[in-house]
Parts: sequence; structure tokens; C-alpha cells
Amino acid sequence: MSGQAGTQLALVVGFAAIAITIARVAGVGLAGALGRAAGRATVQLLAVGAVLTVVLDHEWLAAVFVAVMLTTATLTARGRIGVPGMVPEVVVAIAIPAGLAAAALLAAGAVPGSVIAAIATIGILIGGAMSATSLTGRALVRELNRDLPRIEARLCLGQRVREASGEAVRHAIVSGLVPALDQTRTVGLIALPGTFVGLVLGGAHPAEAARVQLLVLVGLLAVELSAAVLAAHAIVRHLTVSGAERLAPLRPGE
Amino acid sequence: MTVAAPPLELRGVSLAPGDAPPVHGLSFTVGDGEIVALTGPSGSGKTTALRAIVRLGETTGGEILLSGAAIAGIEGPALRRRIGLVAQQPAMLGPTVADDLAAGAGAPVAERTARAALEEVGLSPALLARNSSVLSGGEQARVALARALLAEPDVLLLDEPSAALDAEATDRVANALRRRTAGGLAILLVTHDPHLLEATGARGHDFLSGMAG
Repeated sequence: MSGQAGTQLALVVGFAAIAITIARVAGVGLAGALGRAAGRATVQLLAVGAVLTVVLDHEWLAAVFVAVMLTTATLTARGRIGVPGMVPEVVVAIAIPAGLAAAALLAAGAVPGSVIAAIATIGILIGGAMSATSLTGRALVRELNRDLPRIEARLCLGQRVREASGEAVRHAIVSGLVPALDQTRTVGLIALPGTFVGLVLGGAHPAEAARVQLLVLVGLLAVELSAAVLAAHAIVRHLTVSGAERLAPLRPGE
Repeated sequence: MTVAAPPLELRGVSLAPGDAPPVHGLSFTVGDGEIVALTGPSGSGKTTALRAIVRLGETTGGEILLSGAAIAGIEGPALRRRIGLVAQQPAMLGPTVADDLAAGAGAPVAERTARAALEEVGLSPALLARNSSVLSGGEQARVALARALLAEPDVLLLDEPSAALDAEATDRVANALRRRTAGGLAILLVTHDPHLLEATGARGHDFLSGMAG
């Protein structure tokens, strides 16, 4: 281990210890969660570093790595949404927008053509799609529960579930897009975004890094909106009792 | 000579109304231009029965027929255009009362038609431009009734329609319902209100006995 790496690891431990100490002193009950989160992040990033080293030596493993990212994102989003089933729908909502955007970025040569750059780009897009899918799905289930009397009033006038739940779907999509919109609006003003930092640290000119970052950010907006729309409509379809054309009962917690 | 099937018929219907005991063997008919009132203790499953009739809920047995056709074979939206349901605490669709009425008709409603719809249920046409979500409970109940009537259903289900109404408003609603039955509308209502029963001339049906009153 180089001297710099040793210093970095020591600082990780130091920052984690400070956070845990502050949590204990403030009595906010987060000390355990902070310790576990820091430990888990350490293990995950060390593992990812090791795996990526192997992938760089055997490029065909990149597909496996992307499949693992997609699987993890799908299971995380599905768990957050809280509706039983839904795995195929969530895979589609995440994979199609992220896959198409990644293909466009790589085909246009907008990001470096290396395996590591491709994995990083796809990871960012899958992460964005996962976030939009989770947030939109949770918001939609909450809206459907809250707005059920109005939805049923519309159903009683002969509307289909898709029409009757349109307002809930729109609200949920807006909720799901708030982080992406905020991130795009405040880019560079509050924090330097990851792609930009990575490229600059890798030796790219800041102007070039900014162009690539802009492309990724705006691409993310399109990906997240598409994922949110796909997820919202899939959830409504999933919860629609065919024939009766009504919403299946939602559990109180859903 | 064939006898026309009644607009609404329940044959041996069973229900599982959530927290309440299951209901078995519910049978009755609502004829053309007839008003039938389901009576019985609170929580016995009357609202569950109304919801099952429009396929917003499930039956666990038996058969519900709309003009002789099993509702299980009629898709929800088509069924609910023929059978209207007004909930006890109806949701307003707004933003204005006029928008609520348009939702009932399925299209923008001519002002003259909208004014007549409100007057029919004893409301002032001046309410048309008002925000429907800020109306009183009684006004909302009558807007929901006007909205359902504008859809011109064959059968109308009403859940405690007089719960938020005073005696005078109940009379106005009862008169409106009786006028509609003259045109053939079949009405099934759930009520605990003896005044509404008397004012509508409804045939009572004890929900738990399974026998017509």
C-alpha cells in the first residue's frame, strides 16, 4: 500500500470516528447506523476496486459487472416501491432508458471509449434510473392510497384506472424528478459533480470535463424522466384488476 | 310472452366485508322505476354490497345481474356507465362545481344543463363557479348526486344520501329521485333515515334477513 493510500484509509477511519462521536454526544441514536454505513461502504468500494481491476484485465467481464449493477438497482428499487412482484417492470423501467442513453453516449464518442469509462457511465445512468424509479414508485403508492376516494369517484363515472389515476401519476413523477432537477440546477454551485471531478483527476482539461458532465447531467434528466414514467404506468397496470378495472387493495403501509 | 329482466338482481350473493361477519345468500331485485332501500345495522356490509354491484369490490359467491346479464361479464367502465354509485362521503373532482358536473357527463356541459342539474337536487346554480372542495358536506353530497344523474345511468346506487342533509334538503333530493324513477331509473339506496324512506316511498329490504320488506 502506498503512503498516500495509507493516509487516505486513516482519514476514512478518522472521519467515521468523528461522525460516530458527534452522533453519540448529540444523542441522535445514529452512531451504530453511521458505523455500519461507513464499514459497508469501505467493504463495497474495496470489493468494487478489486473487481474492476479484474474486469480491466478481462474485458468480457464488463457485461457481468453491468448485469450485477442492474440486478442490484432493480432489487433496491422494487424494495423501496413496496408492491409485491414488479421485478420485470422495474428492470424495464431502469434498463431501457439507461441502456439507450449509454448506447447514445458511447456511440457518439461523447465519453472515452475505454471499458472503465463505459462502466462508469452506465453505472451513473442506472443509478439515476433507480433513484427516479424508487422515488416515483413510493410517491405513487402514497398518492394512490391518499387519493383513492377521488380515483374511485372517477371510476364510478366510467373512467378507466389509467385515466382516474392520472393526477396521482403526474404528482408522483414530479416527486421522483425533484432530486435530478435540483442536481442539474445547482450543478457546480454547491458541489462539483462526480463525472467532472473524475475526469479532472484523471487529467482531462476542465473545459472538456464540463462538456462531458453537462452531457451526462442532461442525459440523466431524460433517463430519469423516462424511468419515472415507465415505472409509474407499470405500477398502475400492475395494481389494476383486469375486467373489474379497479385498483387492487393497497396495504396501509404501501 | 317474455318478462323483461329487472334492471338489478342479486341472487344468493355472498360477501366478505372486511371486519364484519360474512354475508351469505343476499337476494333481491330492483325493478324498473323502483326505489329499494337496504336497511340494517351499521357495519353489516351494505356499503360492501353497493361496491360489489359496481365491481369496486368482490363477491365471494352468487350472482349479480344487470338487466339479466351477469355483471362479471361486463367490463368495469362499461358497467359503471350503466350503474352509478354515490358514496356516503363523495369525493369532489373539481376544481369547480361545473367541472364536477362535466366529469359526470363525460364532456363539458352546457351552462343551461348544468344549472338545471343543480336545481334538480335543490342547489343554487350560483354554485357552478364555486370551488367544489370548499362546499359544505350537504352541498357536496348533492353535487355528487347531480354528477351521477348527468351520467344518465340505468341504475343508481346511493350510500346514505341524506347523511349530511337537513329535512328540507332531504325532501328536495327525495323528490328528484322520485321524478327520475318516473323515467325508469332504478334506485338502490342504503339508509338509516326514516324520513328519506318515507319521502322516497322506497321499498325496504332488511339487509340481513335476505327477505323483501
